[in-house]
Amino acid sequence: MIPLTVIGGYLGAGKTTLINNLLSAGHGRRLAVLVNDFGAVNIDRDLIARHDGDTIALSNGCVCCSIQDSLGEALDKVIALKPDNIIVEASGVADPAKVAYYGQGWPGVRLDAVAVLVDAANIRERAGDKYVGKLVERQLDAGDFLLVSKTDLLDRQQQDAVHDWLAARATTTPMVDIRHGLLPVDLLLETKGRRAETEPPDAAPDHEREFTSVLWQDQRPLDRAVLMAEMANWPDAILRAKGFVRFSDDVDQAYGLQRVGARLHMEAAPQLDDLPAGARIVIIGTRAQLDTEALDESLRRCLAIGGAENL
Amino acid sequence: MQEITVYTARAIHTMNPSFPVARAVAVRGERIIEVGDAESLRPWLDAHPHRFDDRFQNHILMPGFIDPHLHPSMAALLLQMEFITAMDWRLPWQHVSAVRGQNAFLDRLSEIESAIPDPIEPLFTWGHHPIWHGDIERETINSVSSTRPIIVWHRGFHSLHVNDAALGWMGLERADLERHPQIDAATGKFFETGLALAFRAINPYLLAPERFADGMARLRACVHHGGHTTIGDMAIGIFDFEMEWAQQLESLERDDTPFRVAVTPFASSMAGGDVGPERVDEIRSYQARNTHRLKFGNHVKMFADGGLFSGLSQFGEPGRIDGRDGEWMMAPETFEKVARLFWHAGFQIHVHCSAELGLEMALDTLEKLQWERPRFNHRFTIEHLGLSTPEQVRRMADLGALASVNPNYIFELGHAYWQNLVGFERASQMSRGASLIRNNIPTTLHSDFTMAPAQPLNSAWIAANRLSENGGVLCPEERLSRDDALRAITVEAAYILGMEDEIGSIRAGKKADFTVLEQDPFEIPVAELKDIPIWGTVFEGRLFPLGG
Repeated sequence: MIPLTVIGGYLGAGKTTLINNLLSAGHGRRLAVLVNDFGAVNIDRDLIARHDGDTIALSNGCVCCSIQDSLGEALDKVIALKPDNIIVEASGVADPAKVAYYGQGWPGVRLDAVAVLVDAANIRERAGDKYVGKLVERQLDAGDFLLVSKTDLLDRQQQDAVHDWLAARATTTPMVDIRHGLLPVDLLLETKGRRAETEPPDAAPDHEREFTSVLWQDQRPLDRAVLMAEMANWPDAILRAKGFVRFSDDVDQAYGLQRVGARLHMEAAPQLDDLPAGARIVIIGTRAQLDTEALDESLRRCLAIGGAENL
Repeated sequence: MQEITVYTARAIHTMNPSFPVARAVAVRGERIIEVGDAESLRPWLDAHPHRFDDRFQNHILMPGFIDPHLHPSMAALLLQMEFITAMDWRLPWQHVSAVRGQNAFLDRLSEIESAIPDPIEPLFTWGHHPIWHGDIERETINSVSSTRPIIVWHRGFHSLHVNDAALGWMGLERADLERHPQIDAATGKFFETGLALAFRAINPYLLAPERFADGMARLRACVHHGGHTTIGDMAIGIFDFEMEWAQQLESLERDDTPFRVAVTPFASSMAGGDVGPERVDEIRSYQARNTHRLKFGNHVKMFADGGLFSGLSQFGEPGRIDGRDGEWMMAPETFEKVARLFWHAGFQIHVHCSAELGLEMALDTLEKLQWERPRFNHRFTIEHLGLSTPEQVRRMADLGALASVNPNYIFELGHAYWQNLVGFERASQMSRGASLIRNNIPTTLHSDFTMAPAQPLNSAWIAANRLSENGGVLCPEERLSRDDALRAITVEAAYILGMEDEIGSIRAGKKADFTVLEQDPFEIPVAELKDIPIWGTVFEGRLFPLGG
């Protein structure tokens, strides 16, 4: 099933800028992006391979498709193209949680994450608006993580105030500042295949300063219950974790693990030669906040040592 | 020159207050020459060949009825289905008797099922409502048929139940249902976003040209039987603009169609996206397609908040009893931007408004536009007017807005909104009437068919009586007078469609459109308005008896 990522947020929060960057960045993935309004998507002419009606095919293998009046129809259209990831832009007045139902229920796709963009310059005003205040709050509630845009328009004090306000009302949702719609693709999207689990995510120089990734591996299987308990307590600084794990109660079966914000998805992985004997997990977090030592300790606590009685 | 025909009648209610009642009307070709009595018509008759036709001498003539807001495409879809409803429905081809109770529902379903020869032809029913019919489940429908796909559509359109054969027909596996958060695999229920998965198979089937054309033929019969001579398609393009236009041309622009259609497109789209000035040009260019019966004008349809039937309206203070809130169909900023585009281009803007906050947003926008560029006679129309406050009514009057009211909310939703959503005070004042008239707001009534029967006399009956389906009267203070209720389905409806020079009343120079009634709506008790038998209509001077 193709991972589906929902990008939500009110008008002007930067959804289109982010999508423009995703379509043109050199990440090597074949993305299918479903948008509400073609007009706003600004794709470099040289990149356009084909434009027919409601679909633009890019020379880098990505496609952009307009949703028109039926998200289901648009999904079927791009699922047939077998892209690596599908990204759905929720309309500015949509509740992203509702759009996410498509990821949870449409045949052929599976929900990866809901990323909600937040316009730092006016989110607080919007949240108090008589018409859209409640909607904006619902959008914030729907995010697995929040992408805070336009912080560069604010001074330090204003930035802190927005961050504090967001942190106070969304206590378990990680947030990340993004500038000009730039974000490591590995952070936003689930990566299919095994490449990403053995190599650090693409780190453009700009991103390196803000994000860090940790590869954690061990030959031993994990204790299922302890891992669940540990992950439930991971800090907001951990934005995404992905990889393969085996559990001591079922060592023959490897599981693919995806954790975005607090949303966890695990499914049995097909038998492949190079799956780890124990666990192999890449964790992406914010450089300034991620305590790599604490993370390592947390994961080591998950190791199923094989029972103290054997020692 | 064509001969003049003089129709005499027991009474002709012209709906022209300056000449309210007549006994004879002279018609030449498609136009009214004069209205009066045999004596007063003399100067015209002495000068031109004429004949008297007294077939209506025991009948009542009204101006041809007008429903300014219904949805032919939705109707064409729905009318393909078998009605099993808790209320009586008079359909031209069938009288649907009320079915109440779970067993009665299943008996009727089995009866319909066994009458269809082809064992695998899908069967769609519409009208199921848990209040009347109890819960229905996959297994229960399986017991009706294990081979025929059966789709049981909820009365309010927002959910459906299917049997196993229907799942197979839709190409869905049980696992597909189990993982979807808005499909209940056990009961076979599809709702909200889950419906999209059902529509994937259902829409191509019901929208297939021959079936859709059949639905349109039924729509044509329903409109005729309601006594209409003009309807407004208040949002062409719900499924697909070009497909719907082609179907209307084929099914409605025919010599035997006894009505015309005022066709209004979406300002942007159903999805409510942003548009630029090129959209204005595009919509203007539609007028080049106009035919004798199908006409685009300078009208566009816009949406404020979600619908009352789906429970997604934007409520004003103090909100809903359950604390939930609704949805915007367009972002308020986009709404303002698109409305401005069409306001400056001189269009009449029709805005779907369901509850107080939706109305507030529309009126705030109108006030802003009036300030920027004042317009007289702009006829900005509030469509539906579900929940509103008295102050908003006054503001509508201040800003020159018109009202096109769906009175059926009172009948069908009044009790439920009172008990479950907003309490008695607000629910009872849904779909205002008298307060609009007191504020001199031109007021019309519509059915929003398929939301309510396409029967203007039924709409007038609800607005004049304000009965809810369980028999209670909701806010008698908002009842329309008999005269205002009948104006609302004739002359005021013509005004809201911008067609008042041609239709809406019986006077010299207008189109000879009449609805011919067996009883006088000004004489019978107002509680019986909906039951007046209709003989048929006269459309542009031609007689169209029902069943004839």
